[in-house]
Amino acid sequence: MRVLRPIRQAAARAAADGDVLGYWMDKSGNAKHASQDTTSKKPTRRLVTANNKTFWAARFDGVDDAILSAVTVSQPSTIFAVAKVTSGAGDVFDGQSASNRHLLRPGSNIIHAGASLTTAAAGTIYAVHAAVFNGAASKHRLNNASLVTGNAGTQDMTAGMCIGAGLSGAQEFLNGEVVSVLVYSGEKDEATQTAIAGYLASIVGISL
Amino acid sequence: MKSTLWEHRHIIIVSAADLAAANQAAVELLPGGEAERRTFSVALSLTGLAPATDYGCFTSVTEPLRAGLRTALLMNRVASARFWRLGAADGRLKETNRVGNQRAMDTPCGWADVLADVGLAVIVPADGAG
Repeated sequence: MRVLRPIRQAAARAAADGDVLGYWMDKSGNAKHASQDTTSKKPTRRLVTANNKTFWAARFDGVDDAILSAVTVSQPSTIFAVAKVTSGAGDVFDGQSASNRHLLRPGSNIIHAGASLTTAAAGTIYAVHAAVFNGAASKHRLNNASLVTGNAGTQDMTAGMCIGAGLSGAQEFLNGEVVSVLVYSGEKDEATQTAIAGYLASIVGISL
Repeated sequence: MKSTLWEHRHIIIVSAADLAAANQAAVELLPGGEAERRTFSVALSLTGLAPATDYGCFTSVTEPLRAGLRTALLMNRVASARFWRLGAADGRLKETNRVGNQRAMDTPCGWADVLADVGLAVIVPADGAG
């Protein structure tokens, strides 16, 4: 499991609401930290109050922000993300190569690993997404409710991960906020997914 | 909670002819070294189709970086550089060197507003997803 959250920063990194965020710690212990060295591409670290909760989020500007991790995973895989889309159809996460994709695009509710599995568009509020990449049996769940099951393709995410944009951070920029990304090998069973979704929902004050 | 030092948001657009000089200025001034050579990475054109006529960036900056970046661009003779400085906290336009068709100061302003004002569109590559 890899856990990426913009909450704990290395020393001398972002410390205040509105600072740029060039480093995103992998809290799982696997050292797959995400980073961005180009100043203009760094998201900002924001202290957000929503749903009667206050929490940290990474705000991506929808223009050129993206943050990259060396994390990899092969199918079947399960990736959770807590995110909010402000506008548009940018990517919360994706692989870093066109042939190694694991994509979540909440603005148009697509998950994609070589084929697009799509359902009705989501709203612009914080939500807990669970994307299970498992070929023709892939699944997209929203706030622990099933949205769609079908074919999302068979690609593995073996070239690293991009958060806040598509591919290597070159396109499909997210105009929105990401609170947490959890990457798991394997398809988590429903009870485990429910437990993880409940934990993530509690961070942003969503009752499941 | 400390106040952020990243108090400005800056939109900068340069012509394609000045791209190398603008990125060189970013390398020399901004903290990321060679990684800053990708600062002006958003390809723009009148139609949204290649080839790019201009390149842009939208970035948070501290006051020293704001002043330094502007000076560095001028010293590198990036004559085409157009600036829009926004307040990071309120997203309102504080300053621009654009002449003519100028948006009113201290009004809400963002990336899409600036592109509309200058008649440019982002060149979006097809990614095959959706």
